[in-house]
Amino acid sequence: MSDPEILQAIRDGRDHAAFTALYVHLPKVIRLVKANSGGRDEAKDIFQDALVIFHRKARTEGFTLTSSISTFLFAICRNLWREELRRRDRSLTDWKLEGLPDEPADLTALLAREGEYRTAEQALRSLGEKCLEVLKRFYILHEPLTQIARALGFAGEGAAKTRKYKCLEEARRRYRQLVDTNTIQHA
Amino acid sequence: MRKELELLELVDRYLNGGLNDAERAAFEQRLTDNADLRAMLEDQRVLREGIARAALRPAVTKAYRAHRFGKWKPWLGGAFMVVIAVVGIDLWKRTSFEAPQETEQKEITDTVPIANEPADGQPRTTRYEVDTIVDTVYKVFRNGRWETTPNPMRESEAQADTAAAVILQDEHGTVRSTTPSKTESTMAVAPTETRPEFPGGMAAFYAFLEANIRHPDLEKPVNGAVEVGFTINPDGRVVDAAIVKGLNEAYNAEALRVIRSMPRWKPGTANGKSVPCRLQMPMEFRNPGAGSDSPEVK
Repeated sequence: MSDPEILQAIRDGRDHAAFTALYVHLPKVIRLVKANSGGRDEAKDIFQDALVIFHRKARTEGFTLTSSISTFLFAICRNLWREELRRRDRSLTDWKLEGLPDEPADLTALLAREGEYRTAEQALRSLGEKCLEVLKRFYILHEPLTQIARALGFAGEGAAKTRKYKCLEEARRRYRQLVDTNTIQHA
Repeated sequence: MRKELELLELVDRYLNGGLNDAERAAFEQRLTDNADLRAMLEDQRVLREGIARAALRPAVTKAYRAHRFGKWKPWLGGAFMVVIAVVGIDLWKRTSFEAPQETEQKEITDTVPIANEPADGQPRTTRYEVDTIVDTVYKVFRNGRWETTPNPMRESEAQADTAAAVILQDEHGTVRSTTPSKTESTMAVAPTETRPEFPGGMAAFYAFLEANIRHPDLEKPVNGAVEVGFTINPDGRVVDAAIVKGLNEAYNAEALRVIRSMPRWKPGTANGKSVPCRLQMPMEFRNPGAGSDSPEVK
């Protein structure tokens, strides 16, 4: 699939086709990570994160590609890996991956925001499948609460609603906890 | 607690655009002088983004499986890809492996010509004596994963193994008698000798091949196997990579390139000393769309 076709697939909600096509860029990222003291699985993880970021970006209003998707994904991966290495060893602050130029400011800002969202995702995942399922169905699929209650076996609409709020509340608590730990580490 | 949930519901409705004009104005007024409420609003906004991210994960993972699977099932991806269908390793020991002092004079009884490597434009032939086949690992890609199958060449020995049954006790407390896995038994090399080992083991080795093999850019892809031989030196370096049985130039070159790009191995040892070991390995290329030039791997 060409870049415009992939973008169109994402806009049409054909995520599977788009993601499958995008995985052709994975080997390049594996090589990058392996060349910089990482392994295949780590490369896969950051690549998948880049796919998520790209997908979300592509769905935003008025998004246009300024470079090829490949370049975009690779730039994100390079950045994510650099961050990961910094997390491991804080002496690497000024370290530059393979002497490549730093990313443009807008990409840095995008990644900073996505970093927060990733932490939120982490907090949400830690709540367990059921919570995530309720929240996904409500906020992403926009299913009515009665339907959610039926599908997930809650007593009724009220129970589903309470569950949703409890989950959100607990997610926030855990998210705050994660943010605080990260802040301490970086301080 | 109840109050918290009510507040949360309010924030939620605000984010959903579910408040009417008057409610929204009141809420925004509260926001200006309530830092806690502002923090809550911001966190809920971030959490929603987190939910959106989490919602994408299944598709990403599923596509990853399709991507991996697509290498073996071309009609899913449609792309032209190379498959290593079978990787078998035959390990030869040099004579020096066991009797270093006799190497020079020992009569060669059985030889395998390994290398016809054009080095410096000069065809060079290295001969390695086949002493004993220490171990053979056959891996077949089946049902989406690598499975170890017994090497037919060692069938007779494998049968001998069945006599030595092991008693296993499983979690339910029942005692079963089973035979040792053929692979395990063939792994049991004499304790003084060890095979060379790829860093991270065989799984890492296959992963390495899989990640690094590129399909030769040919107009006409073919199916077939390239058999490569290479030596793991006592320092772990891969040397003398050579084609034992070639397919065509492009495939031969790719097989050699990958083999030569391998990281250092853990060398094989004999009597506690690192020794050079020769390995021979068929790499099978299977290309969707190519004619079936090689028999199906069993």
